[in-house]
Amino acid sequence: MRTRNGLLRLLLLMLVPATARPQEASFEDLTVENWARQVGFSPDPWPDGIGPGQVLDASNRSLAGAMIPAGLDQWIDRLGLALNLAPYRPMHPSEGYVRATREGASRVQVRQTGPKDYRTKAVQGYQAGLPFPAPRDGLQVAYNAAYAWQGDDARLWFEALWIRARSGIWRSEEWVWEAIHRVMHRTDLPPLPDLGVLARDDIQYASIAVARRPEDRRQVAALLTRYERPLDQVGFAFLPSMRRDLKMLSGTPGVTWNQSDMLWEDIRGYSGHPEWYDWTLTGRATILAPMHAGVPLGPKVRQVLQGEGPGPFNPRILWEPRPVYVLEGRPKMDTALSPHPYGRVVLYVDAESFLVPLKVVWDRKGRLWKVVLHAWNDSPDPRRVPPPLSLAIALDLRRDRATVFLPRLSESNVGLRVSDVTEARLRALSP
Amino acid sequence: MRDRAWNGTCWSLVFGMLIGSHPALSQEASPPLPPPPAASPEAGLATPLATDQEPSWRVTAFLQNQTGVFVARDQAAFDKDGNPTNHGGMFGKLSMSRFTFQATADWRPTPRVWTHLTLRVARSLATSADDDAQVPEGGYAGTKNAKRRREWVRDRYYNETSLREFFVNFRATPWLDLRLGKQLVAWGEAGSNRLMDVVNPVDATWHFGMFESFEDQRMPLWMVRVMADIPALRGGLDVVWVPMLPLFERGEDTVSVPLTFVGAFGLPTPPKQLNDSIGPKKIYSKTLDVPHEFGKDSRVGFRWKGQAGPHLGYSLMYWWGHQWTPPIPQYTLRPGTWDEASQDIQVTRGTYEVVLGFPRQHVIGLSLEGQVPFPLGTMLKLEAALEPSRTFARWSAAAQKDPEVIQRDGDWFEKVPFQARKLLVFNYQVTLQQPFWIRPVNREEPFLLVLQFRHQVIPSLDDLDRDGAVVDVPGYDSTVVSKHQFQIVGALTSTFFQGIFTPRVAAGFIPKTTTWNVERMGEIEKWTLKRQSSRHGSGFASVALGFRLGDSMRAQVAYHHFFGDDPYDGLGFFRDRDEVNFTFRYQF
Repeated sequence: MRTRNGLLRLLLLMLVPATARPQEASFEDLTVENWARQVGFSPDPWPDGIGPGQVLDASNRSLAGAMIPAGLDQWIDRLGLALNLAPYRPMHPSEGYVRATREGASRVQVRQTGPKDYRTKAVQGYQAGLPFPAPRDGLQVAYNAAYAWQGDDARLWFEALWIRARSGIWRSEEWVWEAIHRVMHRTDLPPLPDLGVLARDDIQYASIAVARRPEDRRQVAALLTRYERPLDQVGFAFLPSMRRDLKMLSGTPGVTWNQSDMLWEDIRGYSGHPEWYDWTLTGRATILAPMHAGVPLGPKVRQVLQGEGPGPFNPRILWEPRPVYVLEGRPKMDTALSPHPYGRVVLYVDAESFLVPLKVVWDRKGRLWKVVLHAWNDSPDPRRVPPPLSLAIALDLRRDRATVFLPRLSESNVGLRVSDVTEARLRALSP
Repeated sequence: MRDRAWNGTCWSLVFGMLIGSHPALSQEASPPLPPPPAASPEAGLATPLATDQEPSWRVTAFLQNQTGVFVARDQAAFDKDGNPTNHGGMFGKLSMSRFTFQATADWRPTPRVWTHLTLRVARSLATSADDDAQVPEGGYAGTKNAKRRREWVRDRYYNETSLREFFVNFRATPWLDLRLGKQLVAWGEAGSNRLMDVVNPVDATWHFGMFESFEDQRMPLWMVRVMADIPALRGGLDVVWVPMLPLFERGEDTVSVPLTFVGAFGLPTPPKQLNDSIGPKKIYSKTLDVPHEFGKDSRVGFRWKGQAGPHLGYSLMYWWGHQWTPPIPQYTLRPGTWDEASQDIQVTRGTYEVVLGFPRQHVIGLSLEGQVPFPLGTMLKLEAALEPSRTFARWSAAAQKDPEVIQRDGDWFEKVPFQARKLLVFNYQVTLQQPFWIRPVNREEPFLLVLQFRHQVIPSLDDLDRDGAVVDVPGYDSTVVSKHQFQIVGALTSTFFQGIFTPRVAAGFIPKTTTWNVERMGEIEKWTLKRQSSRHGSGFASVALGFRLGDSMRAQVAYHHFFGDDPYDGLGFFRDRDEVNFTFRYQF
């Protein structure tokens, strides 16, 4: 249907003013059953010689061809990553999210902003759901990723492991993180459409994270809020050594999460505002990605790691062929006072969920630098609960080291309230 | 007093909680590698989710040694009458060697209730630097008692066995938390200057206050704390009541420890004052009259902290408590006998018992903190505190009133009251925090620059009014207070190799614009006040390098340097206390 009307659509685009281009496709018949078909596209078939149940490694990964993008190929060849192949399974969001997409997609409009303007919101009219079910350019894909279905809130209890190829785990921390992903634009949990008090302050996201281990980080806590407008993420950090909560900026572009290999903006592939990058949609593809990864969450979650060999941080998870949008980005927020470390990034955005399982990073000199992998497990109830985030790895290919994030507990739509993410709550959680 | 008598109930409770706890998480030994998860083309894989629950108990602990050596070459000096004119002789002496075990336990039996406990045991070597301690108890004066003074300081202030914190937090409603027990509370943003941080006193006797974390130096108090969250007003209210519980705590543990009681990190013996009638050689003992009656001497206050938009936070504070430091001399006592013939007291001891008190005071505070977004990422903080009537001791020539004769329990005493001045004091501090990158030096982490400027104003003080002069430290005329006092501190830090090395440099300067000018005319001295240039003053510089060695080991080496034009004022008190300090910690 879309292919047949492509020329007419192109003519229409040329006539509509560039400052306000509403989506023209209709998704009035969108359901959870037809979501993958209507919103996504089918992945390419398996190449000859490989299929579900097999293991892809350095000896045979060439059979996968373009399903293994640059960056991931080095991980396999040089650091011994092996991919356990599984069949493709379509994904869809919750019924509430689908309904919100159905009702709201036609109202979302893109605004043109200047090439260096990263403080003006580039879309208007967005209410909830997927902003652009038929994305046509990089910014729209980036916005889909920013508002991808991940539930209205989440609770994550995870370990962070700093691992070197030669010496293994040399540093670890343990955190508990509670986040309201959707203060605004809620689709699953009441109250809809937003959590009044915080939403009136234009807050889009709020979370509290508390460190449990090691001893000198214990009870370090952070309250973070993100605004609907592309402002810096702000919040408070409680420092036990000072017994104070201190206001702070966080997630500033280019800053690492706790001196790890993952920048704040690498979390979930890309967690900054879409306006902070120049995005180019370079095309569609099919890659191998862990969207039903099979990570054994719980007390033995570390068993998912290889633990030895050239890549002790290598995960033993399931990979399936996934349809993705290939999104290239270059940071806008790059100044002499604060030069961004990334020169170019490529995000492989899943075409059904708009989650980002794979991100590849080049530095300012154009050298391949990092691979950021995120994996999800099966949802326990796909119509109501999003797939749980089950693994994140930021791999530095140049230093052969990685920071691995392993959840012991990963829950979504748990029913967090405004009172769970306030500064007073931060103080009450801490000694 | 750091060694405390324990009642059996407390110890039983402490050990019961520790023994019954679950061990803190540790790295597991590598298990045998299981086969990769199975998958079928038809059904895929069923993966268990959310299969783990956080333990209700968590216990962590650390063992630490901190040792330092003084490296300044200053030497003590004396005038022709034997009064000190400079202090020193610390080179090569141990500044500290303290072994600490601290355990922290948290128990969260339900989402609404959690308890927190911190136990600390510290044991220290005695150091000869404490020979100069001005022990408040009688009978410790003189060269022959130097060893006794060292041991007294070690046993009273360095060695410690204490239940530092123990409280229960009850979340009565989603917006209301009630916390009962022994706690630490920190208000304000001013860091070490404690403008609004007035709830807990401080024990800085075992190391320089500015170089140690307040977590370690604050003295917890038994208190009731209510924390109310009011999202509609975008803020929260914190109310604290310190009732004073003589049954559970000593009075001296509810006030800051005077720095004259120790030697290594305390104040040196004062030089000659204009009025030496109560000089150090004349003092038999010092008694702290700590207000510690339940209810009557309780302290109470509140703080409201809120947000005025995404980039601006503010707080308002009020506290009704006691002045922390210094303790203010109230009177001296000397025993005597009543002489009927002269109808007067005949004192029987030439030395004095000095009684010091902790006056009440109000403190009203305000803070603002704002941020300038990227690309600067600047944080600006302002904190201000008003003390309507802070009590200052007068300088030696104006301190004492006429003697009185009193009788207590049938005994006669000569009592000489001290007079003080109550003055309005306004303090404010501006802090700038600026992160920035120097990528060729540190590719992964930014540098952080912190600059602090503090100004204290005492409007009714006249810098050249000799008769009305007041001092910061009673017994030290050199610490005469100026109408305007300033302080500038800067610090720079970053971290390298994913947190393995953390270097830090810091420096500060305190100008001293009012000093004494002493003119000698034969046997007569004439003391007047004069102004100094802003370059006159004292300060410090510090360099430290922290090391992280895996999850368990931490180490730090630091060098601290002090300077000052006057060895008996400001940071000049410590100009003979340049130090190299090592800290090693093992945590689990």
